Amino acid sequence: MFKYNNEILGIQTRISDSCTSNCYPKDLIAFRWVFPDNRPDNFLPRALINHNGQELTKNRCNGWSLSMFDTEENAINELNCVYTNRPNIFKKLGTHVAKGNINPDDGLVSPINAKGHFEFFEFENSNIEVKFVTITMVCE
Amino acid sequence: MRKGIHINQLPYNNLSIIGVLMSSYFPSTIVYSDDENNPFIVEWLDVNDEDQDKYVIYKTSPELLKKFIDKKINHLELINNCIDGILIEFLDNLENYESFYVLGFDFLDKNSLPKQNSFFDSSISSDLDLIINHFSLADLELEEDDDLENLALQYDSDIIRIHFENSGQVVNHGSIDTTVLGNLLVCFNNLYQEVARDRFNGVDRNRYRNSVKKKFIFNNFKNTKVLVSEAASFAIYIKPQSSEVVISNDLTLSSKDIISDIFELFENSKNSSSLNEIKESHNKSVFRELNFFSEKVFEFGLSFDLKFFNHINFNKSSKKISLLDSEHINRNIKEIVETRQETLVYIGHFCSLNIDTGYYTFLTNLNKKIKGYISDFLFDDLNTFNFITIYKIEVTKNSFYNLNKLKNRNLYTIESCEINN
Repeated sequence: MFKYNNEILGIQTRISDSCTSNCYPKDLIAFRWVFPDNRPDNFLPRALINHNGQELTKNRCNGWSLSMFDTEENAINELNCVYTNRPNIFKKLGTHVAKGNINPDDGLVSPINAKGHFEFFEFENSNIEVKFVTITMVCE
Repeated sequence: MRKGIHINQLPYNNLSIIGVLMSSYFPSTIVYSDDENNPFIVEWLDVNDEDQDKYVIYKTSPELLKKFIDKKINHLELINNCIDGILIEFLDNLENYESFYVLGFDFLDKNSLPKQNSFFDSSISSDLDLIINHFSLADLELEEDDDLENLALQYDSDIIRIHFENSGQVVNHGSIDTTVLGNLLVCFNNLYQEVARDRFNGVDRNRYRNSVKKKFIFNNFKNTKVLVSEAASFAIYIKPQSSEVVISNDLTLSSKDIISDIFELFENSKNSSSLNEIKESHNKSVFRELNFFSEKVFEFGLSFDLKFFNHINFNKSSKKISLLDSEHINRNIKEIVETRQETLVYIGHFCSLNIDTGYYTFLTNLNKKIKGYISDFLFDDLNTFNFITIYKIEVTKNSFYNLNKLKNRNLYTIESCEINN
């Protein structure tokens, strides 16, 4: 069962499709954009972060997953790319990169795209935040 | 104090959200539509000290949206070209009426806006298909917005537009490396000149060789001149030195013919068999310059398109050349190598002779110097030859013909040598 199971099931019913059909349990090292001060939204899915258009995000599968990268370099590069489009975006996405281990018990991992990005769907009992350590500052 | 003019309500009716254009990490660019299907865009800009999200909403057009998605304009241009120049800043959400402030682009905090080199990235767009379908962008044909006609009227001349594109290394929106542009323009000008020379002097370059007056007229035709570069692209406008000159009763040179020849050259050179068919139709210097130009284009990793505007009949013509096309043109020209062989007889004397290698130079009685090697049969007789005796030699001339080189490489092998009586 997923951490945000009701929401994911609701979306799946509405779109008549699965959010996680191409996702699998895996052992891997993952990297995520975070803030360095252990704030709660470091590991909150997008749908729970207030913003204009939040209703749209709540109705999406990836609104209820965590955005991650397969390497530190990919995480830094992509944050820099997004920064080019929106210089203040680090105030919403994070200023640092954290590194952690993901195990099959933690949740399901989507396919990794060409930029090294993947979505991570947490299981109900996952405590993923304690497995991540902040390692690199990207923006001040 | 907040910039802008406060308003109590949005001047837009019945906005409904269509989708997130950018990005899938955080919805920083969201597209809305009103009930007349006009697109509106909400851009997230910043978070203020009270932890409120700052946004701006503006009206755009399907054409501008398509240009942005097709990467013809950058994100800053999309915002700057908002309809009526009106942007409305607000905090947190579109129901927060108290926070509505109208302002112009120049009053936005530039530090919160996309950078100049920020273009649309479809890989992080959540709802691109939804947006394209809603506004029927796939079927939208964009008007050409070049300045060809205006410049043609302004300068009373034919105009050529050269537009370069690449992945952003040497060419960006509105800028290009100086070395790159300089090289390309010189190469293009040289190609233009040689194609013009084909029409003026003929393929063998013999016509009007001795006519000072006609050469003077040609010299006022053969070059191109740079006019302006185009804003928000990398394109440059050039004009021919003259659009048309009359050389004689039988010969008028026009830039439209030169450009037409250039377009045909590009097209035929993309394919090696077509190139073979036309190789005798142009002087080798044309292929040499075409080779240089396509080599440079390929070296810089560019694709380009050429547009020509005829200022008399207002006709346009154009040609697109991809990076791969340039590579093919370059390779096809270099691969045209032919070997021709003929037997010749000369009378004259040796000027030099290497008795180890058999390499020689020979001055004929017609004052022509030839060089090459003595054939194996004569090697043993080498030390009997001298530089005073007049000899009669029979040679095999091997000519190596390269399409992109002006001079053939010729090698003369002496097959027989006897004293000339």
